[in-house]
Amino acid sequence: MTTFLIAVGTLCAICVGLSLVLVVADRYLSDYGRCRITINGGSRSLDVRGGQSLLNALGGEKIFIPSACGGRGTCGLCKLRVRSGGGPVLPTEDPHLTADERRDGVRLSCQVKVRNDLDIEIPEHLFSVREFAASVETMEDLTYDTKRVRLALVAPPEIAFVPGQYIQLQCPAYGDNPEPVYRAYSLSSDPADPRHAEMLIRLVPKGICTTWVFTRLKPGTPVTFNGPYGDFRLHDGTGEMIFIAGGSGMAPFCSILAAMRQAGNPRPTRYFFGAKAVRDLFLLDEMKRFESDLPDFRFIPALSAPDPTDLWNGERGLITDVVGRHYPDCRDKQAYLCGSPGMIDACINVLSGRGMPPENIFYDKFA
Amino acid sequence: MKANPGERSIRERMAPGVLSQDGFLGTDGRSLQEIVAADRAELERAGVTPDEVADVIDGLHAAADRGLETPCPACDGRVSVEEIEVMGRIPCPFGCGYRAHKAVLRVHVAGRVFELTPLHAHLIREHGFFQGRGAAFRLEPADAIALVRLCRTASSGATD
Repeated sequence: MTTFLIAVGTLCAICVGLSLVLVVADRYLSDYGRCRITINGGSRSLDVRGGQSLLNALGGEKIFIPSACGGRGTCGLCKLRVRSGGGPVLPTEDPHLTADERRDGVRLSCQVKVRNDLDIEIPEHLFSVREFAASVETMEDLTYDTKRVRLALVAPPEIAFVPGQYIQLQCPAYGDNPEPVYRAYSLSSDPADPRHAEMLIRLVPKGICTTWVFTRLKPGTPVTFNGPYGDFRLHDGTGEMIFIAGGSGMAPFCSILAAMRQAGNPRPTRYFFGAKAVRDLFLLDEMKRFESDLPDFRFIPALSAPDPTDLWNGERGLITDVVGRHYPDCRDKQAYLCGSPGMIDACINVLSGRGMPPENIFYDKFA
Repeated sequence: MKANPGERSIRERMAPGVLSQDGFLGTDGRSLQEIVAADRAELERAGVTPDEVADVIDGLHAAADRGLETPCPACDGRVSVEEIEVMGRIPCPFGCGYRAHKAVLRVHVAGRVFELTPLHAHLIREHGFFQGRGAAFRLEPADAIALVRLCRTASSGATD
């Protein structure tokens, strides 16, 4: 028995010793020292600790690159051009890169480890992205599966954004979810109120972040987000604008309409909102106010499957059919779409089929 | 059966909270090979191939796409489908590089509702994987076989 215990003890001691050797080796052999990251041909230069991912190194310097998976190499959003120093493309990156991107040196910044000096390119607009600390001010049930979440900004205390842009909300580790993840949500806030950020969040069945929002978030909860991102916005023009959305695709249009009201924008605007039944409609009073406040705006909700009890006298049918009925000719108009990829593709087909040039169709696809 | 290093990394990606809220394995303690082999055997006994199952799921997604979240019929009206699409894509946990749109397809058939995602067809066709027992989105092979038979007779014009 004693011999057995001595053998087990010796084995344990060897294992602990080897583990210590590995920890020490990792600490010292993986020390890459300080590394220089040259950005956009030298317009900026960073001195960072080596050994971390490029995504984290940039984040540590308050340069936020969009990433939805927390740096696990699964979302493919954190692409940057690495001109030199990035090493070979890893198998984890390969599936996310097109042949053109590989040729141009595009990499997933979460997978590139900073081991030496790097020369990279970052789109200029990402330099205006900031990380924000905020707290939940209100949470409002808009429908059975959609909430309006209003955040009061803490630090920095204000956000500047273009109506139509989105932020990335951090969902912290909770329950069985071991690491924080980020999810993109369009801002629905009035840009004239920079001290608040507002989102419309629809519950995704078994979704990591929306489950957290619906079950854990409450007034007073501190949250972190970064942004703003995206290039969905109003474009110049004088012709009629057609807005089309479904579900939480409503969000950017709330912000855009608020900005139009602020500016007294006189452009004729028709907003088609697709839903299944009356219970899926929301913010109808706010849309009525926009109709009153804007010179030429109409909100046109359309139901594809109203309940018999809905007593619905409005538009019926798929949103594509409704838009098609209203517009036999779209040549001189602009369209702005926000919703699922399927909805957007179907709308683009309808609008293109009625003569709308592709350059007049702007969309924010949930993709 | 021990997990090889490749399987270990796949299982890590299949854990809850990594790629999806509930993960892909549920309460199943079997190895991936055992899960795949058992489900494949059940299909083979019924004379159904993974490709047939995946084709049916693809067809249901296509039908649901046309409905823009509105329930619509499929398989000659024997099935009703609706799909909720959300932002983002989800990668295949096997690390093959495939990325599917995030969506939940609800299939209403004979008083039951199955929830499938665009990953299902890929996982079944390419990896023979129906997900582990107890997983939120596991499609039981028996249900897959029933769906194939239902839609197969529908598309051939036969009645059952």
